[in-house]
Formats: sequence, C-alpha cells, structure tokens
Amino acid sequence: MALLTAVGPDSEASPDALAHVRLWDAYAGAIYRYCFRRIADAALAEDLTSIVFLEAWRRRRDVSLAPEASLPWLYGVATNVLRNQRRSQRRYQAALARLPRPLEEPDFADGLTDRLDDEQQMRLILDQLRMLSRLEQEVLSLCVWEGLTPRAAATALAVPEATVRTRLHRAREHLRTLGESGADAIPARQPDATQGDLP
Amino acid sequence: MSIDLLDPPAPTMPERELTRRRAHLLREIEHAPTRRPHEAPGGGGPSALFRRKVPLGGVGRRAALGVVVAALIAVLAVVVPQRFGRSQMTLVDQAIAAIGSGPTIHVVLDEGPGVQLVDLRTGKTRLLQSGAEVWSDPKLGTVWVSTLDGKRTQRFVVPASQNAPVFPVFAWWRTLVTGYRAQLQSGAYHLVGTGQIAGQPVDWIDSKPVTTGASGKEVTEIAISRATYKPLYWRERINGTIKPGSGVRLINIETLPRQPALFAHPTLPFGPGLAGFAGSGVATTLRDARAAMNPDPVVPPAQIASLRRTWVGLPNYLTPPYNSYKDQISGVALYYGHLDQYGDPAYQGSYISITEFPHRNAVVTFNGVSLFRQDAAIITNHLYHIATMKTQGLYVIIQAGSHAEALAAARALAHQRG
Repeated sequence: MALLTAVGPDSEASPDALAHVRLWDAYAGAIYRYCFRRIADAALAEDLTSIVFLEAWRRRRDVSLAPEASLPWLYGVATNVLRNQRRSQRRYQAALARLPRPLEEPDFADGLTDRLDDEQQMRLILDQLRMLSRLEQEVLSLCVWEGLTPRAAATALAVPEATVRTRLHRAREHLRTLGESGADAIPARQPDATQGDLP
Repeated sequence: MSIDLLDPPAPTMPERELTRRRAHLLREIEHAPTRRPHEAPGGGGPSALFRRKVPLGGVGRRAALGVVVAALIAVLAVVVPQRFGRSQMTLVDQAIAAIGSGPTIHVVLDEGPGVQLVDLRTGKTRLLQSGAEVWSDPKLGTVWVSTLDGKRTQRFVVPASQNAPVFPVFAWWRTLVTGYRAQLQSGAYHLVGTGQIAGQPVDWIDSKPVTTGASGKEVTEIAISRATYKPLYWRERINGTIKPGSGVRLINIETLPRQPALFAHPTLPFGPGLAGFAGSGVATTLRDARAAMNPDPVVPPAQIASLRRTWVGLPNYLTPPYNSYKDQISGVALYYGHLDQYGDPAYQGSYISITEFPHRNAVVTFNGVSLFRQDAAIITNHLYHIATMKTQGLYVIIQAGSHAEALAAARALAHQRG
C-alpha cells in the first residue's frame, strides 16, 4: 500500500473487510447489470446487488479463489440469490433496513425516464425468453449478455462446462423459433474470452 | 418498441447509490462479533448479521456450550503448561530466538488484493496483490519497499533521525519493527490461547494493557507460528474489541547483520500527514503547456463524466528536499470540477484532476503511486481515488472524487489521439 493512501476511512477496516469492499468496487457494476437483466427492476436490482455481496461475505470462507476467479464466483452467488429471491430478501431484510437514507434526494428528471425505458424493454425481452428453461436463461444471460466464457459460466452455475455449451446450443435453437432474433444473431463463436475468464 | 434479445439494456447503478451501498456493506460486514484470540482472523463462523433471530434450543445449546467450555479449559490446563514446560525455553524465548539477534530487522507484509488494474482497451479488470518489505536499523534508518502484483512500485530510504516523523501512522511499526524483540525480552507479552492463521497452528500472545487517555486500554495481539515461532499476524485490541483495520499479515520477520549499503542514498517520501499530492499550483494555459512540454500534453475533451474542465496549471509537486517547492516540475495539470472561492481547484465532491509528466522520475520520486502501465489504469480506492497510467509517452496521475470519475478520465486519456 502506498504511504499516501495508508490513512482514511477504509484503512480503519479489517483486511478481510477491505478486500471485500474492493470486490464491490471492482464488480458491483457488473453484478447490478446482471441482476437488472434478470428481473427488469432497477430498484430491486440495487437491493439484490447489496444482498449478493453480503451473501458473498458470509460464504467467503467456503471458497479459495484467485482474484481473477472472483467475478465468476460472484455471478454464481448472484444466480443463487436470484433463484431464491424471496428467501434472500427475507434473510437480509434487517441488514437492508439499516441502509441509511441518502443525504440528498437525487434529481430523477432525466434518469427516471431512462430507467423506466430500460425496465420496459427488459421486461419485453424476459417475456420472450420464458420459453427457455431456467438454466438455459442463466447460460444465455451469462455467456451472451455478460460475456463470460463457457468455462467461467460453468463455475458460476456449478455445472460442467459441457452442460453450459449444451444449454447454450439449446437456447440458440429455441431462439431460432423466435424469428429474426434467432440463432443467426447469437454468436456461434465463444464469447469474449477476455471477460470473466478463469485463470 | 423493437427489442434485441441479444443486446439488452445495460444500465449502471447511480454513483451515489454505489457509494451509499458500499459504505453500508462495509459497515455491515464490520459488525461481525469480536473474535476471540483463538480464532483465525476473518473466520469464526457467521456474524451477528447472519444469525437466526430465535436461538435454536436455548437450554440444549447452553448445555452443549458448557461442555465445550469445560473441555477447552481441560485441554488448555494440560496443553499450556506442557508448552511452557516442554523445554527450558518458554514460548517467548522461542519467539525471541526465532528472529535472531542481528541489528537490522527485516519484515515482509502481505496486504492482500487492494488495487485494481483496468485494461482500458478491453475493459478487463484484475485485482493486484499489494505488499511491503521493510528493513529497519536503529542507527542507519529504514528502507521501505512497496510492491504491487509482485513488482516494486516504491522504494525510499529514511535516515534514522526521520523514522519517528515518517512512520507514526503505522501502529504495528512500534511493536513489530522497532520494539518487538525488546518487548518480548522485557516480559511484556503473555500466552493467551491457541488458534490457526491460514491453516497454520499458532499461539496468541498479548501485550500488557496500556491505558491511554484517548482510547482506553490497548492490547497488542500477535499470533506466533507453532512451527517457526515467528509472528504470522498482528493486531490491536482496544477495550476488549479488535481495532478495525489493525490487522497485518506477516510473511517473514527476521534480524540480519548490519548492511550500511542498503541504507545509502536517502530518498524521502511524502510525510503521511500530507493530504495528497494534487494541491493547486500555478495557473497556465494549454498553449503554454504545449510549448513547455515534450512530448505535447494529452488533452482530453473539455468535459469528462459531466464535469467541465475549469482549470489548467503547472503540476504542483514537491521537489527535493521533500519539504520545499524548490523547482517547478515540467508537466501540466488539468482540473475538471468546481473551483473554490479563490478560483483554485476545490478537490471536493465530484472532480477529476489529471497531472501529466514527461519524465517518470518526477512521478516516481515524489509520489506514493509509481506503477505505470501502457493504456491500463491502476486504481486505488483507499482514501483517494487515484489512478496511474502511461499514454503517448506521458506518465499520468489521476485523482478523482470517485472510482468512476477516475476511470472515466483514464478512458478519455486513452482514447485521445494526437
């Protein structure tokens, strides 16, 4: 740690806690986007993002990760939180109740319109994807929307890599029936290998 | 509304919400109950945050707890005397012997993943391990080396006369670097329990409580490896509660023969009390900066992340000796955000400060951050949001009001051509 940055609020935290908020700094944006795309509700996605990192803290001793593997693992925690949304919210109800009120209310004039547009568009997309199984939806969102490799997605979903590839193929087949948004538009190549890959 | 199944909306969480929830997360996870000395740092099972509201089987649990406590007492009653009586050397004797008797103490710390590397071309991010290595000799001074991702990022040598003013911020300094052996020899520590650190069995030793007017009773706790008798972990407890952020993980601690060459050529860092390197300096114009710099400065757009460029100046960096503004360093400082009542950068709230140097030495010598990668931002979030990068032959330091603003500035610089 550089001397100049050795003092301040974060430096009062324990090393473990500090490492965990660094994960927040690095990946909260990605996890928020993933949650939003799975539920089409921006406010709820914010709460779920908080829950994902609280749950990740609770489970931090269950895994031993290289830093590069943290993001796929967080996607995995997020997937479980999304699968058990109500239970997760119940579990962390008290913690979320302690979230302090903002000091000043933001000006929603512009942001609110964008947010509502995004939510509406996302709801339409999710409606279209209901024909897919839950795992197919998860594989599609991780590999296509979030750009994870099948290997990283397999880590996130705790399934074999071959299963991810199979489900991705099936999702493509299913989407083919949706016409112009079908298989041709889904990249046949592997997703961007630079994002969320394992070391 | 036309929709693209493969390109869904990608909203970002508002910055203020990110900040608010980050602070909430830190507060919640720091609410974990105080660990006892026999528990490993960060371990100890679920925190109060995650406990069930209704205890399971009140009477049964109490009974089980009683049995466990009795068993622990019995084990300690047998094991502790054995550890002290096994040989003529006590645990403290072993700890003193383990670090040797040389005049120079050498300490290596692992500070964990604390800095983020962002590839500005691909967007890929990676957390970098940070650490420190220190040699301290009461007669020669201190050599401090910071590392990031296994590479040296900072090295300075402080004469013995300057040790006290330079390092007071590090509480572990007093008990591990300058006073560890003396305090062990004086009987300041006693065995309080056993535990594990990173899977290694340890004995915890506590210092005698020191009462201070400001904070109460302070106790230093050190985990001593049962295999090597060297410290593996250090932390402070104040009034019975572990002081947040006090923990330090030790890779090695040893004493060495005196090596005067190691301490030659003192290079002083900024004093820790100095609030950053980016104070406002002498105003200039982009035209003058271009005329003075070689290569030319990289000037990003007049607006970054909704902040407008409001000030251009010369870099206001300290030059040798470190407490004077003897010479002006070549470069340019660009400021985006509010100015204060005097028309100088306010460096508060939302802001971006970009400082560009044509020579690496200017940055390396006088800043705490000194790792530069081509078209990649290295961002710290400790107290200030600071990013370093190298672009178009210039070494750049960005300081900003938030992580997102620092990143936006780095991206703007990386994409600026010519």
